[in-house]
Amino acid sequence: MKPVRLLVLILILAPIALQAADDFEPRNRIDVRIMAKVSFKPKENAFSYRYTIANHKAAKQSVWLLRVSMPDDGLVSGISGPDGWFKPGYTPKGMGWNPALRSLAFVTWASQPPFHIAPGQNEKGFSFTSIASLPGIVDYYAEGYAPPPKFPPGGAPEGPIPGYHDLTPYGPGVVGRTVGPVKPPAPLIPAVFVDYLIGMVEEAVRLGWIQDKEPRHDLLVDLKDAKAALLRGDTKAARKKLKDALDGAHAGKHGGENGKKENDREDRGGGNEERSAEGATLLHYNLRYLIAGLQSPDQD
Amino acid sequence: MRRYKNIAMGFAGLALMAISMGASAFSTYNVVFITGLDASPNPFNPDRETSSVSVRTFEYAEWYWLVSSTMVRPTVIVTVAGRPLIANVTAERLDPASFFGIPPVFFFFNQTGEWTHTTTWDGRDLTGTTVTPGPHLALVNVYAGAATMFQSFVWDVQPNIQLALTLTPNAIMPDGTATASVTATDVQGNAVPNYAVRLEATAPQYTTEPCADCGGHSHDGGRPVGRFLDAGGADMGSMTNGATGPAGEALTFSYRADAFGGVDTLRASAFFQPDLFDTQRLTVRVPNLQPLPNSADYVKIGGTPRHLGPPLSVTDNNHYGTATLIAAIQAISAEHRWTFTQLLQINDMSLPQGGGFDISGGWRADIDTPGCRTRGHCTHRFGTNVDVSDLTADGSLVNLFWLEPAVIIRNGIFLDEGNHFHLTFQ
Repeated sequence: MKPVRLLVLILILAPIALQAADDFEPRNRIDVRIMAKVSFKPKENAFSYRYTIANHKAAKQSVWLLRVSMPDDGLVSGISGPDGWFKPGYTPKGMGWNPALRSLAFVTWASQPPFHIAPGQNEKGFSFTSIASLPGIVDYYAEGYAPPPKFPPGGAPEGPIPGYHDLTPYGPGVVGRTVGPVKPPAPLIPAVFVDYLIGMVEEAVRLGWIQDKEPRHDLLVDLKDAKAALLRGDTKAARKKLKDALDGAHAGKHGGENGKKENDREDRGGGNEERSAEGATLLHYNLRYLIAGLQSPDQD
Repeated sequence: MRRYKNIAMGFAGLALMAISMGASAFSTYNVVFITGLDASPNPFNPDRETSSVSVRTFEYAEWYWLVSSTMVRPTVIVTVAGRPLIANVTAERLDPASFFGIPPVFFFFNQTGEWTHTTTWDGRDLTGTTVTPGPHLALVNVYAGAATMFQSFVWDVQPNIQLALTLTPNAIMPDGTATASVTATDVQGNAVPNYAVRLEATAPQYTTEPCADCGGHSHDGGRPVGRFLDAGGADMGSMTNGATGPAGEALTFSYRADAFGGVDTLRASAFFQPDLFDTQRLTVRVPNLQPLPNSADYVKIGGTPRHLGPPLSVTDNNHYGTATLIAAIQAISAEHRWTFTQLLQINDMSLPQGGGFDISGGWRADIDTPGCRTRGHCTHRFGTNVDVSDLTADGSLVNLFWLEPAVIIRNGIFLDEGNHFHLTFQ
C-alpha cells in the first residue's frame, strides 16, 4: 500500500478505534418505576419498607441492581430481597469515590441472570425494617445490566471514568426519588418541622405524588395556619389545623389513585396502618409524629 | 699645536656625546607586568585567619649607555572593600637579570627586574567591620616610575557561617510540593545577606536489598528526582543556585517531588565553599498506606524482581493500600470464601510509599501517558486500587455477578482488565 493511502487509512481509522476504546455502554437504558409501601409495626416500633420495581417494556436493559439511599447511618435492619437477588447489603456513610456517595448510606440489592428484571417485568420483595426514623423522600438508584468497562491489562484509568461513572452521582445508572427512612429532626421544634412538612409537600407535588390542586391547596393552607398558630403560641389551634391536614390525608384526598386504594384498604381493617402511595405515606406518618409531639394542656 | 687642538675638540665632542647619551638614559622608558597573583587561603574565614595575596611583578627598563642606574622598585596597592592595602615587599630583585652572565650594570642595553610583594587582609572594611560574606573584587595596582599595571581577583570571605535547610513539610505526596528554605547565619546568629547557596536534590539509586529509601522499587535505572521551582513556578531543575536576601532573608524555593515514592535528599551548600552544607531528607509518600496482612481468606500474588512480592519473595512490596482498600479486600475475600469456599487471588495494590508503580521498571517511561496505557498500573499509586485475578486460587472463574455487587455495595468501582478485575475504593 502506498504511504499516502496508508496515512489516509490511519487518519480515518484512528478516531474510530479511540472512540471504541472509550465508549462504554451506560447502565441507564432502563425505564424503571419504584413503588414504595411503608407500614408501621407498633409492637416493634418500626417501619417496614417494601419496594416493587417495574421495568417498562420499552427498556433496553434488564434491571440488575437497586440501591436506596438514606441520609443517616444505622436506620435499617432486616434487609431482604426476592429470590435470585442474592446480594442485599448495607453501606454505611463515608465510603465512595464521589462526595455525594460518602454523605449517604445505602441499602443495595443485586442479582445475577436469570433473575434480572427484564423489560416489561416487575419484581417485589425488596424490603427492610427501620427504627428511629420517619418516612422521608430519598434517592433510589437502579442499574440496567451492561458489561463493566473493559480495558487491556493494567490500562484502567485513574478513578471513575468521566462520562460513564458520573452519569449520575451514584454511577452509570438512573436515579429517582422514593420513600425511605430519615431521622426526624432533633430536637423537635414544631414550627421548624411544619416548614419541613411544607417542603416535603412541595417536593411530593413536583414528583407527582400529590396531584390534585384543591387538596394540595387545602393541605398547604392547613400547614401554614398551623405554623402561624405555633408561632403565636396557640398550640391548640395548631393541633386542630394539623389534624385537619391528617384527616385530609386519611380521606385519601392527597394520595392519588394508589393512595386512595391503599387508604381504603387500611380503613377496612388490618393490624398495620399502611400507605402505599408515597404522598399519603409521607403525610400520614409525619403529621402523626408532629401531632404527637406537640405538648398541649388539652391534649386528646 | 693645531693638531692637539683638533684632538681636544674630538674628545670634547665625544664627551658631549657621552653626556648627551647619558642624559637620554635617564629619560628612557620602563614597563611593568604582573606575572603572578595568588591569594591564600582563598576563601578564608576572617574569624580565624587572614589571607595573604602575593603579587609578582616583572619590570623592564631600557637605556643606551653606561650609566649606572638602579631599578625602580614597584609599589603595589591592593584595594578591596574600599580599603587600600599597601603591599609589603618581602623580596626584592628576585633575579637581577643578566646578559650572558654579565651584570646589567655593565651592559648598555637594558635592565630587568622581578619582584614579589605580599600583603594581607583581615576581611574587614575601613570601619573594621567584617565584610559581607562572599566574593569581593580586589584590585591590584602596580606602579613603577611612570609604568603602571593593574589586575583584579576575587577574594572570598567566608566567616563562620551556619547554613540551615528547612523543608516544609518534610513528607509530601508523589508529585507534591514542599518549600525549601535556606538561611545563613554568622557566629553571632545574625542572618547573612547575599550569601550564595547551591541547592541540589538527589535520590537513592538501588543497589541491593533492602533499600529502605527506594520506595519498594528493587530496580535501578536512575530514579527520577524532583525539581526546584522559583517563585514564578519556573522549573529550575534538580540543582539550582541562589542567594539569601539583601537583609539576610531566607533563600526559598519550591520543590516538586517526582511521581515515585521514596526518600529524596536535599542539600544546601555554600556556593563558594561546598564543604559548608546542610542536608534534609524529604519523604515522598502517600500517607497512611498499610500492608495487606496475610490471611486465610485470600492469596497474595503479583511480585516481580522489580517490585518484590509474593509468591516470588517473602518481601511484600506490592500489597500496600489505604485502610479503606484493605478493609474492602478483607471483607470481600472473607465473604467470597464463605460463599464459594474459594480464595480470591489479590494481585498488585500499591508500593509501600505509593507513587508510580512502573511495572516494567522503566520509571517515567512506564507511567507517563501513553506508557501507562500500554504498560499499565496507572492507577496503582495511591493505595486505592487493587487487581483481583479472574481466577480463584484453585483455578475456578470468579463469579462476576457476585464480585461486582460486592464492590458496588462498598461504593467501589469495578472494571474489567481482561485477565483480572480492577477495583477502586476511595
